[in-house]
Amino acid sequence: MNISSARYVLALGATGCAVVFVSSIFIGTETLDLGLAWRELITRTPLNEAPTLSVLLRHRIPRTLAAFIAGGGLALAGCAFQALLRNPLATPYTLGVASAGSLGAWVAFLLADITATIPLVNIITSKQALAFLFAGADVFLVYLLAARRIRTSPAVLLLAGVTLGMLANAGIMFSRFLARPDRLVNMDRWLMGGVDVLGYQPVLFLALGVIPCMVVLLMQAGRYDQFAFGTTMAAGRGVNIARLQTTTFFVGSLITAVIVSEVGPVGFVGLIIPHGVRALTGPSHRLLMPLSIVAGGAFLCACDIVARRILPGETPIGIITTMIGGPVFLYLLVRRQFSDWNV
Amino acid sequence: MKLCIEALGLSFSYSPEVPVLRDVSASVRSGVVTGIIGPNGAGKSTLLQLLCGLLKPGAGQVTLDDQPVAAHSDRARARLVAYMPQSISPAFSLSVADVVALGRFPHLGAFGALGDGDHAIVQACLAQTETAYLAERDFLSLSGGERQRVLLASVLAQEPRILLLDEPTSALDLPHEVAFFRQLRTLAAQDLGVVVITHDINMAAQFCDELLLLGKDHTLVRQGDVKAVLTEAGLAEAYGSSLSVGRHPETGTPFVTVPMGKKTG
Ligand SMILES: Nc1ncnc2c1ncn2[C@@H]1O[C@H](COP(=O)(O)OP(=O)(O)OP(=O)(O)O)[C@@H](O)[C@H]1O
Ligand SMILES: [Mg+2]
Repeated sequence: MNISSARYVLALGATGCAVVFVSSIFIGTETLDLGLAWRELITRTPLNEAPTLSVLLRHRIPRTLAAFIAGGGLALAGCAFQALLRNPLATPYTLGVASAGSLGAWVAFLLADITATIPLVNIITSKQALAFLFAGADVFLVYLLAARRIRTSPAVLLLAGVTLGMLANAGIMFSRFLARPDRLVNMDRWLMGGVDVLGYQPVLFLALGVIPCMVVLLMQAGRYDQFAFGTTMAAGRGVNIARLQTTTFFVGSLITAVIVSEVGPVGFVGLIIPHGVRALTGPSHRLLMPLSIVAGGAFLCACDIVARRILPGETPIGIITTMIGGPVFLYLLVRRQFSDWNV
Repeated sequence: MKLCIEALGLSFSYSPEVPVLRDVSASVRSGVVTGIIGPNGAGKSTLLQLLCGLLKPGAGQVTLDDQPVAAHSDRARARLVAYMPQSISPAFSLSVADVVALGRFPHLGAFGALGDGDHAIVQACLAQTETAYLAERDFLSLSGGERQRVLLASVLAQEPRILLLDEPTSALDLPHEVAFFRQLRTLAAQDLGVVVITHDINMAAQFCDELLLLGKDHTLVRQGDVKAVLTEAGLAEAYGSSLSVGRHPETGTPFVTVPMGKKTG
């Protein structure tokens, strides 16, 4: 692709992302009357008496921000893991982080009856805290198991991750088996993922957890480029391999843990977005990584619009990312858009 | 000022009890073409990685510019010494120009953006290796020999003082191989140091100033100028089979042939 047509595609893509972002704020189960919201705003009606403005401020904007940060974070983490492991299949999910996080959330559900009334303990055993803890533990375990061998064989890391993910899934099955039937509905709903956040506290948590990590990963872009020819070549160029592996592994997993604990295991974004964007930008991570954030954010916002508006009720977003992402991914595979991976 | 890499009493093994190098002491320096020869598995590639600090010796030490290699930061070291591995291929498609641009890494700032100066150097390295006509091609679509010439451009773009090349001519046809070695001589004349591993002993005899001959017992069997290293005794010790050393008809340098056991009488 020559430079001018690349610019054209990028400009078009950026506009598309902006449109998705804005429409995500205004489209919902009910379409917002903007005029009404504006009148409520300028007459300084208290929020509890201003239904339209309240929906906009307390539901739509935080929800859109959450979807954007979560989508962008997952896409970026996927991008970084693929570069580090030189493997198109590497995502935070293949490393078992998401399954472990889900298991944590399930444990929280199980404990809820016992701990709900005990102060402090109920915070520690909250869904978010346990999801985060379990995801972190997974990362630590994968690292311990594979640390000695990542340099020679990234595949070992993936195998360890997939195995831990399966163990976590078995744990989830087991806790489902133990759970009270009337609780299963709630628990299952969480497992399908959702960005239906309320207010700004979750958004703040996501932003504080994810954005600094994004900056750290973006600063490694030039180093990931060097990985194209493998670790020995990269080391010869002056990349500190061990440091880059540790940084990517922990920061990428931290992003995933934060996101999973807030919006549940939303699948597929970390796999499909970096591959799609790579087809447009080529292999330079200085382009690929920031654009993956934008595209991932827009993709999750778009899926959320579908969830709220097009499908009945509030369809869980995890179902939609995969139902839209899966066929698109297969189409791209068949069209050989990914023949650029030499594996 | 000459830049030197000195190895003192290096021993190395990948797994305990299986030595890959035994007590190797040698030095290479800028302005000189040093060839490393020896049988398969002797430890040539290993020695090259020890020389640039990518592997840590089990015993002995390597100094670069009179300091232990590890005392240099990774980037600072990469600005002095460039390393081209034996056989590598990228994980995904990259244009030839991108591949050469990768060589600029140790000179770039935190976000790794290339400036005009960097682009000019990339172009110069493409021109110097006569690969400019390939610039827009996908590296993965190149032939083995084309790849090796592009990789040379890419390590040259690193602007090092010493180049470590692991079998850079293994896929080149004869004229290209000669052109490649001539180019190494030109680079040495510009005070670049070149260390080159090759199995083509006669090419090494023609174009190298000094040779290191590693033996199948993982020791340094001979080192020094071409005449001192390429002797029948030395080669027999290193390779464990007998080779004949004659004279090159034009240049008079040692010329190694394999005795075919021709029946006489
Ligand atoms: N990463 C590794 N792990 C374990 N053993 C290794 C590793 N790399 C090389 N070896 C072993 O060390 C010995 C020396 O290998 P090295 O690659 O240095 O040989 P070489 O002289 O470059 O051979 P060639 O001419 O075939 O390239 C060989 O026996 C090889 O099997
Ligand atoms: Mg070798």
